[in-house]
Amino acid sequence: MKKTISSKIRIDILNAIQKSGASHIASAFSIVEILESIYNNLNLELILSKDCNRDVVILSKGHAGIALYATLKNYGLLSTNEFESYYLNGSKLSGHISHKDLNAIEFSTGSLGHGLGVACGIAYSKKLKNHFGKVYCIIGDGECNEGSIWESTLFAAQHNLNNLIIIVDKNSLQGIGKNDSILFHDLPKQFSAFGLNVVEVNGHDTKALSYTYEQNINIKPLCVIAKTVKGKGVSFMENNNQYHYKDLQGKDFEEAIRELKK
Amino acid sequence: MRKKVLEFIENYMDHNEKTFFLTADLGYGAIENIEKKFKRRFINTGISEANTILVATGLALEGNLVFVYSIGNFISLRIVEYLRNGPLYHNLKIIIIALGAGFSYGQLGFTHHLTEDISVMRALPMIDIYSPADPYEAEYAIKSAIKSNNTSYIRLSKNTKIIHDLHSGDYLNDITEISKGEDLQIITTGEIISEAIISQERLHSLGFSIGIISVNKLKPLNKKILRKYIHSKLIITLEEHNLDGGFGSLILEEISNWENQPKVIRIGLENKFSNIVGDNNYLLKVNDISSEIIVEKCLKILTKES
Repeated sequence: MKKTISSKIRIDILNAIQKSGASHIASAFSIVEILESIYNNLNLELILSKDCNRDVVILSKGHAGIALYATLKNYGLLSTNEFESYYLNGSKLSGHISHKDLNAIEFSTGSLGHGLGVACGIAYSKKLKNHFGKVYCIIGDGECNEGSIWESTLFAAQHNLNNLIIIVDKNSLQGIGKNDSILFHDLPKQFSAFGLNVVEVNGHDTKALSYTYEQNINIKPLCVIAKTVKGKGVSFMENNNQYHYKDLQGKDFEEAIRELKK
Repeated sequence: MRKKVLEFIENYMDHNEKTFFLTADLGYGAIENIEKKFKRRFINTGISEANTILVATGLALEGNLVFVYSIGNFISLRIVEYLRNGPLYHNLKIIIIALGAGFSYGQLGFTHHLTEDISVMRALPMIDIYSPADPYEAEYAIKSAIKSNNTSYIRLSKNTKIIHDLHSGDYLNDITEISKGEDLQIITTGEIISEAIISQERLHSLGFSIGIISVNKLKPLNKKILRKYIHSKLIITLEEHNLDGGFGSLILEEISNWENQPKVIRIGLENKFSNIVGDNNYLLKVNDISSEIIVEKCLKILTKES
């Protein structure tokens, strides 16, 4: 069943990218199971009613917005009609994620290094007021080039925001190259040295991700290093960084659909 | 004016549980009361202005009103995009208290001269901007910011003197006519109004009648009041700030909509940084925005027009 949802989400993403000619399909494909692992455990009614005890999800790597839109559609938080309007003139659904007039989206992103600090502010307020709910923040490994990520991480540790779960989509590629050849990070060591509880997990294993959140919450702020494959699910897209920007058309599109429907 | 604003915030936070005070490690000797009183509603976010705005955004998303306190350039120029994408795009309300308007931190050097913030902040949608001249105007600004639904940016100098003749805040508005004058009006913002007042006295002794208007709220500009107060054919705008896109530009933009337009001469910094060491008054002089220059420019235009 869970497997089915992630392939449905990928097919929705692929169709939307083909139709719109938008970029960032590979970045979207690498976080599908991460989103699935979060939304499987959410109380969707609390999300829609903006209850103060709801879980909050912030997609800080906003360029993968189509993955969140497709996830919301598959969990009934976004109508098919709205989803179909992605990237069109007059639509609410921009390439990078926007919350305007979309109840299920908590925060608009697109410039990297913004989501985590906002998640920290939400987590701080929840703790102080004894509100329930976790705050999930998905960041990219390339995004960790941003200095603000480390300012926010220090803050999370300083205030022991143990209702915060940072999920790093570690696909090892960024805009125009490999992470390590641009700015080398040792992310597990860095987040650990900054005072977070770091757990490394297969980022395409929905169960393992969910289990990690359940087992590690309430100790320290949690940083899940989700090891992923950029372009996951379509053989010729996997680890092929041209799909950071390139869309899929014609034969490539047909081949991709065939693989996803297998 | 800092003291007045902090006292007001302290009192407001006392009566409003859903409030936070964030400082990016600034306020030694000034914010201790707030820290002691409000404990976890006071956060020293450390020397990390970007994250300060981000955390403020998260707190505001949870329905809190957040005061953010730091040195001017660090909490304006440095954080523009965080402010734009966070509180402004999301229609949230935070109140930024930016210290060191103009050359307030004169001797500390150019990094601490707050001389481009009006232009930069003014370019952003959904923000209210205040530039008070004295403690009463500062109090007016913080009260008005709390009433507004928008995020606010309040630019404070170190001024503790009451500059207005109107010895009470009751008479103040977004824009206040300090004194009437027939021959020429000086429209200004912030503490540099004291240079306008000195210039006015000198020009009076030479037989000229000079009016002064203080603009506290720069955005949105209260066009109605501005229109009501401007009656002279000659206007000098005066700012402790760079001219490009600054206060004078704001006034010119508004006046360009009028049918009978007065002649406007802008006095401010002409596209430069000040690398000379000096206190506030000294830097006004060497940067050609002190009363001597104002008198000189006024005389030039007054004699030419008469």
